[in-house]
Amino acid sequence: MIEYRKKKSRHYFFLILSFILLIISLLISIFFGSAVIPPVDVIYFLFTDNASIENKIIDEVRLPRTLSAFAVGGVLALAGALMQVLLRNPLGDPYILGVSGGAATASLVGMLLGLNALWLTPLAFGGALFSILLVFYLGGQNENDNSNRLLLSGVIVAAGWGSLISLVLSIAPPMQLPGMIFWLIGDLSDALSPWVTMFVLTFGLIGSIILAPKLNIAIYGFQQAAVLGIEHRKLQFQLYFLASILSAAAVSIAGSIGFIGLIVPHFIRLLGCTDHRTLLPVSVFSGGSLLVLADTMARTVISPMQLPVGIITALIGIPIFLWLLKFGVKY
Amino acid sequence: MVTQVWSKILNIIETKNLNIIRRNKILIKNLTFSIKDNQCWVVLGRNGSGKSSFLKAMAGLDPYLGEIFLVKRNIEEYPVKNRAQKLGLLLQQSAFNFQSTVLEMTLSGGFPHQQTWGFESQDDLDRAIKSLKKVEMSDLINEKIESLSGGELRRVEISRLLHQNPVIAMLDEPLNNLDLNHQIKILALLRDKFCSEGKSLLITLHDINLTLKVATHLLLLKGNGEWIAGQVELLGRRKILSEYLDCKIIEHQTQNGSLFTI
Repeated sequence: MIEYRKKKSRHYFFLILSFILLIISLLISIFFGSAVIPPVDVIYFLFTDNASIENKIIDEVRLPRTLSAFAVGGVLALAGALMQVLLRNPLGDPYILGVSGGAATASLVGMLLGLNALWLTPLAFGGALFSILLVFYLGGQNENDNSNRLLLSGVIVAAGWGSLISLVLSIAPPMQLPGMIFWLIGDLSDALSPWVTMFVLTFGLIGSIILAPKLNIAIYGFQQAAVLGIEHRKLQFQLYFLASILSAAAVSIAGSIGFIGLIVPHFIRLLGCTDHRTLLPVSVFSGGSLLVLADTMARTVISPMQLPVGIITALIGIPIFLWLLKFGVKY
Repeated sequence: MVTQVWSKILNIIETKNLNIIRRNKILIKNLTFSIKDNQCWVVLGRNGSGKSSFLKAMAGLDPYLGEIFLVKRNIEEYPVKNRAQKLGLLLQQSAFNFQSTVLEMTLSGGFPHQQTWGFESQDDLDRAIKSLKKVEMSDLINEKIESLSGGELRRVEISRLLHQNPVIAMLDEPLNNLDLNHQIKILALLRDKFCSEGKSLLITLHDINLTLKVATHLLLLKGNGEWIAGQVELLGRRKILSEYLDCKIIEHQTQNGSLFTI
């Protein structure tokens, strides 16, 4: 009983801790970059305006890039948390339903046809949406409490996109290959305007927090949720809609950045933060922090060259994930 | 006084020409009957005779033909949340892959009575713990669900139904995985709580002797559309049970009444 109360206060503890983590990550990201600028000057430049190069670097490069990394990371973690409930599988991931494959195929075909770079983001979004609709059409109308068909359809559709991507890569002129491969790995260097992603994140977070009490019931199964007075089909549809829009937005802005959507919500659940009313915002803050830190590494490790951030998240994510599988909860 | 009590008898569930069809086979044909308060109904039938489908149809989970009324109103007219305040169902199997604790699972039964975005009140907590005490699980309230044994999990699920506190409690094989001691206790508990004024109980079982101990009424399903419903005194007979369960049943007379074996 008392322990239950303690547990509740632990949820607020998670919320506060992840928020502090976020602030620290944002500061680290703004303080470090290929140009060395003392932290005091960085803070000065943030709040003032002058024509110096350093001021421009902070205001027009580091700050938007940092915010973009936060927003994309938050969107990915949120989409992952929602997918996990929708698929009733703690190993759910924003890309599991072929979203990234659809976006990548559309973008690469666009590049192959020599379209203007401005077209690539809308094209990727269109590809992602197409993939989502295709998977929902193939696997969505199951009468029973069975998410496996949806999952399986997603995996198969993703495999189909994978082979199309290989096809495009094998017939593309050598000049275009580096750009295509960079896109595939996922990277934030083109994502300089963070506001669209921030808007998507806010919309997604508000929408999913409204659903949070229902998600707390849905973890016991959608049939059980129906018994307890939840319109489970409507909830499944809302989850699918939110998770898809979030995944499509993330992938069209930053390419496919693996493991944030899988690891972050999963890890937070394992730490004991299971109430979705706190799990969802904590996921957003932590996913945002993780991508901000990974992106800072991507920008600075071999500066002035940049690594695609997808490599960093995969290098961090794979060992953590394997560790969880080996020593974490049993499935 | 007596007349007043009689006039209070309430139709909790009423079906009119209910048909249950699965895999193109008609399992229950034109079922018309009613469950009143203070009654405990047990549904008996062989595997696949439509017991679970019947309960799920009544809970609005599975398709059916015909009409079902819950406290005089067609169940399709209820907003789902209102329906869940009146009707509770313990599913035969539960499915979850997520972290959760015993107390959280029991508390989830309070969802139909809560505001959409409210946190549990102290009263909710107290009632949930009381429900857990009744199923003898209150020592393990902070235990993780995945660490429970099958019987412990079943008792937590039953405490969730107690916490939900519906007008009609339907339980699909509630005794699955329970030891003998708990089978008796849980049946007594369910009967105490739901076979009472303004409430009723509907369960599926396989054990005839336990059935005759707890039931006031029986619904027997043959699986080919045929059914028979009525008081246990009329239907709890060797010949009828043998016919509907497709099994040769022997009746022994003991000091405590009839005992059935096969």
